Amino acid sequence: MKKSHIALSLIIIFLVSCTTIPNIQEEQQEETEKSLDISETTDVSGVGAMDKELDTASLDTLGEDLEYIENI
Amino acid sequence: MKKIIKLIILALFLVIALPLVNPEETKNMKNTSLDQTNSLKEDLAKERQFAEIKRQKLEKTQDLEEKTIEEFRILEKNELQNIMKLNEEKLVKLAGLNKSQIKKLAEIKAVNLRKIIGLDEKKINKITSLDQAQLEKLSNLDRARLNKFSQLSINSLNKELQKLEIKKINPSALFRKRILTEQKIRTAAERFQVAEQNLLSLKKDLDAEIKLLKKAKGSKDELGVKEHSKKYLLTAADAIINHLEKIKSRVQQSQNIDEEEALELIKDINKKIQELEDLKSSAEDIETKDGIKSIAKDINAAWKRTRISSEFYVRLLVNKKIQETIKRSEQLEKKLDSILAEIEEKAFEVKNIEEILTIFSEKIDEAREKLKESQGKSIKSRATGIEADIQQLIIESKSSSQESEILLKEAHNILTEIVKGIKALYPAVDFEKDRLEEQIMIEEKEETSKVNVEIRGFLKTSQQTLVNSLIQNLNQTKTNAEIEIDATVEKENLELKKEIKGTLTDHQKILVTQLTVSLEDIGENVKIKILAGEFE
Repeated sequence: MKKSHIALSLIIIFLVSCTTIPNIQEEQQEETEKSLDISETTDVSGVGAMDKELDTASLDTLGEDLEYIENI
Repeated sequence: MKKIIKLIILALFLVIALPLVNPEETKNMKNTSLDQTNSLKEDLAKERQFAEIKRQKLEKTQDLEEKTIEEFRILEKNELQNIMKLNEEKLVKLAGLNKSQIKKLAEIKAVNLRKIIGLDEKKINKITSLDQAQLEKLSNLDRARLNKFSQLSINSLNKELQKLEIKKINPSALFRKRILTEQKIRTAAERFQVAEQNLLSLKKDLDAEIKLLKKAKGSKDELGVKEHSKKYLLTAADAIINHLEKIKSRVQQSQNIDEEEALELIKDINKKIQELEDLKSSAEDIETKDGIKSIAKDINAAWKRTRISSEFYVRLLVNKKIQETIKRSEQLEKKLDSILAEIEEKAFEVKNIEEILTIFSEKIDEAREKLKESQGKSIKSRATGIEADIQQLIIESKSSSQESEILLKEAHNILTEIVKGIKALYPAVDFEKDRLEEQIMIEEKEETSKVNVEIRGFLKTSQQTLVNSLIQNLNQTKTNAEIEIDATVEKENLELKKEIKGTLTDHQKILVTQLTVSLEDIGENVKIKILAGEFE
C-alpha cells in the first residue's frame, strides 16, 4: 500500500514538473524578449547601414572617367 | 419682577440690534473667525500629516535626531511625500542642509531629488541658490548634464539653463516628426530596391563602356570612341539619377523629418534629376566629338554639385536618425531612474546600477555633443562655395556623426547590462509601464543664426571673400534683408538674376553689386542665398 502511494506520488511529481518546466522556460524567454525591446531604444545598427547604402563610393571613378571624355 | 423682565427684554434687544449698527464689521468678524477656524483646521491636518510621516519614515531613520526631524515640519504634504521616498542615506544628507535649502529641494519630484541629493555638498549649495524655475529645469536633466552643469559658475549655469525649456510630451508620438502610412513606407522601400538594382547594373555598364572607350581610343577607332563615349555619358547620367532616386526614397520613408522639410528636399532632388534628364536628352542628339566633350563637361559639373548635395542629404537623414535615438535614450534614462526609485523605495540597494546608469548617461551626452558638432559642420559646408572647404567640412561632419553613432553603440551595450542588473535585483519590474517622468522632456531652444547663408555651386576665393564681407556687414548693421543671386549657365550663355528684399546700406549695395559682377565669368551654375533677419 505504502509502495503504491510512493509510486503514485512520484508519478504526480514527474507529471507536474513536466508541465511546469516548459512554462518557466517560456516565461524566461518572454522576459528576455521584453528586455530586448527596451534595449532597442538605443539600437543604432540601422544608422550605419543607411550611411553605407547611400554613399557615393560606388561612383567614385565617375568624375575621373567623365574628365577623360572631356579631354578625348 | 416686571422691572427685571423689562431689563431682560432691553438687554436682549441690545444684543440683537448691535450687529445691525455696523454690518460690515460684523461680516469681517465672521470672516476672520472663519479664516481662523480654517487655518486651525489646516494646521491640524498638517500636524497630522507630519506626525504620520514622522512615525512612518523619519523616526525609523536611525541617523536622524529628533531635532533634525523637526526641521521637516516646515514642509507641505506633497513635499513631505517627496522626501519620504528617499532612502536613509539621502534623507540624512537632506536633513543636513539648512531650512531654505530643504524647502527648495523638497519641491522637486522624488525621482529627480534623488539625483540632486547624490551630488556633493558644494554643488548642492550652488544649485539651491537657483530660482525654483531654473532648479526645476536642472532637476529634469539627465545625470551627465546635471553633473556637468552643476560644475559651472552660477552665472554660466543660469545662462545654460536659459537655453533649455521643459516640454510636456506624449511619449508614444514623441519621436515622429510626421506620420506615414505603412503603404507609403512600403512603396518608398520598393522604389529604393529598384533604384539600387538599377545602379548596380549601371555601374557594371559604366565599367564596361570605359574599358571599350579606352580600347577604341588606343586603336584610334574614332567611331568606336564616339559610340562608347556617348553610351558612357548616357549611362553616367542614369547612374546619378538612380543614386538620387535612392536618397529620395529614403527621404520619403523617413519619419524623423517633418513634412515641410521632406517636401523641400524632394523638390530639390527632383530638380537635380530633371537637370540630368535634360543633359541625357542633349547627349542623345549629339553626333560630334566636340558636342560629346561639351556634354561630358556639363554632366561632370552636375555630378560634382550632386555629389556634394547628396552628401548633405545623407548627413541630414543619418543625423536625424541619431537625434531620434538620443532623444529616446534621454527618455529611457528617465524611465530607468524612475524604476530605480521604485526599487529603492522597496529597500533594495541600487547604488551599483545607478553608477552604470551614470556611465550610460555620459555616453549619451558625448554622442549628443558629437551630433551637434556634425550638424554644425554640415551647416557650414552649405555656407561656403570653396570646393576644398566644402569637401573638408563634409568629411569632418561625417566623421563626427560616425563618432556619435559609435558612442550610441557603446551606450546600447551598457543599457543591456543595466536591464540585466535591474531584472536580477527585482524580477517583478515592469519596463513597459509609462512613468509620469517620461512625459517631461528637456529641449534646447533652437539657436537661429542671425544671418543664414546657403551657397549652391562653387566660388573662387575672391567671390567667397565678398560673401563673407557682406555677412559680416549685415551682422554689424543688424540689417534685416534677403539677398538672392542666381547665376545660370546654359549653352555657354550666362543669365544673372539678383533679388533684394529689405533695405541695404550703401556699402552693402556695393558689395552685392561687386559680387554679382564677379559672377559674370563663372562657367557653372551658382546660387547664393543670404537671409539676414530677426535682429531686434
